[in-house]
Formats: sequence, C-alpha cells, structure tokens
Amino acid sequence: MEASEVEFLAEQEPVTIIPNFSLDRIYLIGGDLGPFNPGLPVQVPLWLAINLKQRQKCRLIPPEWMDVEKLEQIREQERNEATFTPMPSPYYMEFTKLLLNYAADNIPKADEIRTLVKDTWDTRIAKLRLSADSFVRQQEAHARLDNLTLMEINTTGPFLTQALDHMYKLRTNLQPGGSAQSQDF
Amino acid sequence: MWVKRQERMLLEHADTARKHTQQPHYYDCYCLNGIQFLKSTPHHQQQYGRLFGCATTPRILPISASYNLGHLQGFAVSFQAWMNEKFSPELLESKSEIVECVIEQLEHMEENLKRTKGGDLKASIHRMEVERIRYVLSSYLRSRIRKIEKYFPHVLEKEKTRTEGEPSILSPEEFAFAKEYMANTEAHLKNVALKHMPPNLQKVDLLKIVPEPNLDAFVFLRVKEKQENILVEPETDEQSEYVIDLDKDSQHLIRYKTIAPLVASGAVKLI
Repeated sequence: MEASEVEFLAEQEPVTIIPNFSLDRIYLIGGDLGPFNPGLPVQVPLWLAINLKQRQKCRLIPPEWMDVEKLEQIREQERNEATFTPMPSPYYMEFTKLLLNYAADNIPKADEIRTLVKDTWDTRIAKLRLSADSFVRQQEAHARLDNLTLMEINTTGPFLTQALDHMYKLRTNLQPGGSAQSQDF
Repeated sequence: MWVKRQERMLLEHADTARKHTQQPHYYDCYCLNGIQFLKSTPHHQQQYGRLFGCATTPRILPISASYNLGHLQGFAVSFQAWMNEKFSPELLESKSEIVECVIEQLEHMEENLKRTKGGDLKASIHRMEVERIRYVLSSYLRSRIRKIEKYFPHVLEKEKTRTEGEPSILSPEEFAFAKEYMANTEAHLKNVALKHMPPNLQKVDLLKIVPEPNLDAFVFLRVKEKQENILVEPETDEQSEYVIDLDKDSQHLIRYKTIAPLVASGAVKLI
C-alpha cells in the first residue's frame, strides 16, 4: 500500500472543528454530520476538516495528544524502551503532517510539535530496521509487531516481504537434489 | 449483464422515489452502515431518508446515527475488504454484496447530485464523499481484476472444482471476464506460435505455465478476534515448529498460508 493510501485511510478519522458557518445536518453515505453552527465544535472526518479549512470556513482543534509536553513524554518513553511504545493515535504521523501543513495557524507551537513527532518517528523507524534485520538473520517464521502504525509498517513492509519471499525461493530451490546439477557443463 | 442489472437497479430506485414523494413517512432511527443497511428490509425507505435537500427528508431525525459510529463501523466493512484484497497474495472470495450495496448508494447519491446546483456547500461535501468511496470501490475491483489476469487458469480451476453450495470466489461478471480472458489468451498463443509448431508440441497447459499465487508470501495482519494454537512452520530444518496465540488487537508478520482461513472468516485483517 502506498503512503498516499495510508493517508487516505487516516483522513477517515474524526477530528473536531469550530465552523464559522451554519448548515443543517447532512446525511452522507458513511453517516450523519452536523448540524453546523458558528462557534460550536463539531466532529467531522479529517478530509472534510481540511477541505473546510482550505476554504477558510472553520478552525481546527488539534487532537489532545498534539501537545508539546505530551509529545516530549512520548519521545522520551520511545527512546528509553527497547520495544515499540503505544502511540496516541494509529495515524499520528499522518495527522501531524496534514494538520501542520494545512492548519498550522490553529496549532500552538507547530514547529516544536513537528520536530517532536519527527524525532519519535525516527526512533521508531530505527527500531523497526533493527528488528527487521534480526528477523531476517534468525530466519524467523513469525513476528509480533504490536503498536506499530500502518504508516510505519508500510514504509518497510513491501520491501521486507518481497525480500523474504525471494530468500524463501532461493532456499527451497537449493534443498532438493543438491546444488551441483545445473552448474556442470 | 452488468449494465442490465444496473438499469434494473436504477428503475427500482425511480419507483421507490415516486412512491415516497406521495406519502409522508417517519423514522425513529435507521441504521447507516453499509451492509446492515442493505439487509434490513425496508431499505429503500431508509435510503431515501438519508438523502439531502429533497422534499422527503425525514421529519424525525435519527437518534442514534452519529457520524463517528456510523462512519467507522459501516465503512470498516468495505474498507477492510479493500485492504484484505490489496494485501493477500491470492484472490479472496468476492464481496459482491458489499460492492452492489455501495454501487447502489453511489448511483442514488449521484442521481440526486445531478439535480442540485453546482456551488452549494452541501452538494460539494456530498460530491467529495462520493469521489472518495468511488476511489475505494474501483481500487478494490481493480486489484481483483489484476489478480484474475495474473492467475486466471488457477482461478478458473478453483471455480470448476468448487462444490455445490460453496460460495464462489468470483462475481458473475468476474467469472465472465476470466473465461473470456482465458479464451483470448489461448487463441492468441495459438495464432502467434502454436499452429506453426510440430503437431506434437501444439498443446499447452496454461495451468502449468501460469504461475500460481504465492501462498508462502509474508503478510502483516491485525487480529480482530482472539485465536489460539496457530501452528507456525519452521523456516529452516534446524528449527522446530511451534504454536502461537493471536491476541485481540495484536499485530503480526507471518506467512499467508498459515492464516488464510482466518482472513476468509474475518477473524484477522491484513494491513
């Protein structure tokens, strides 16, 4: 799955906005939204929130975890522990990226948040590389990957699985009948 | 065949629409998520009530239909079918029920959108949602077609050996497509090369020359219902096989073959 598709999935997640227009309840195929009243917070999926924001029709309320103190804690925890720590949102990276790109003016200390999330991400990806490496070395048949988010899995996933498939093919082709057969001329 | 069915669906919609404009109706609440929505009996009524800005908007607004719940649960079904199909190495059972339901809703919404003016905020939100769903739908169908084109002899073989009562992995349209693809490939091979070969070499077994889906492929998955005692085969001869439990909400990297039945039953989802 491509990064853009993971982002697409993240855009389905709800986020709170404060609209500056009024609109009755609307009945989307996926569920109901609204009613929208100026100044009253309402939950909408991220794709709509960003669209409304781009048309300057609302103010975005950042999710609770998007806060410098909380993110600092998360970063420290991630650095101190050898395993993956649970993330505040399964789409934390996508949320950060989208919100900071399109609604940076609604988020206090946007730059610090960007750095903190990036640090956490880097730590996690480094861990992921290490564990993928040991997985391949020890020729394991199963791995447990709790707390990894979809985006993280998809950065290494396709490459890793293809590599494993190739190695498997090479190995299974070697075993029957020894290796000398086709090399003799 | 496909077009005919679409036509029939549209006609049905037109009928219900006509009925509904004549009589007022009231709802206590309705279920919004994709599949349940189709299965509940007076679904056309429900569907009509969900449309916007028309004369038949329900007088009583739904009580329990918050966007979050309706949205996440309802689309979880079709989104998951999409992701499973994307990640699994073999062709999964066709979810034609969901597909039809989604198509039906999209057609309906588009019909209504045609009647509205362009610049309306409401209409543009609806249009955006329709686009998003359409994307998922076509991506799902495309990944299926890609697999059918890649593994067509095996897909058809599986379809042939299927016992009575067992659900088909192909929708009728896909079956027609696969058969045609097979016939065309055979004709092509024959015309281009085979008929110029010596008679004893003119036969070709597509089942043997087209690669099978690689069920040994590794996949990532997330557990939805706890599973116990999954047998993991060893990678090398020195290792011995062992048993693992799949806890709810845990994530794993494992061979597709090991957990294929769990994907089919919906106990795990591929990510």
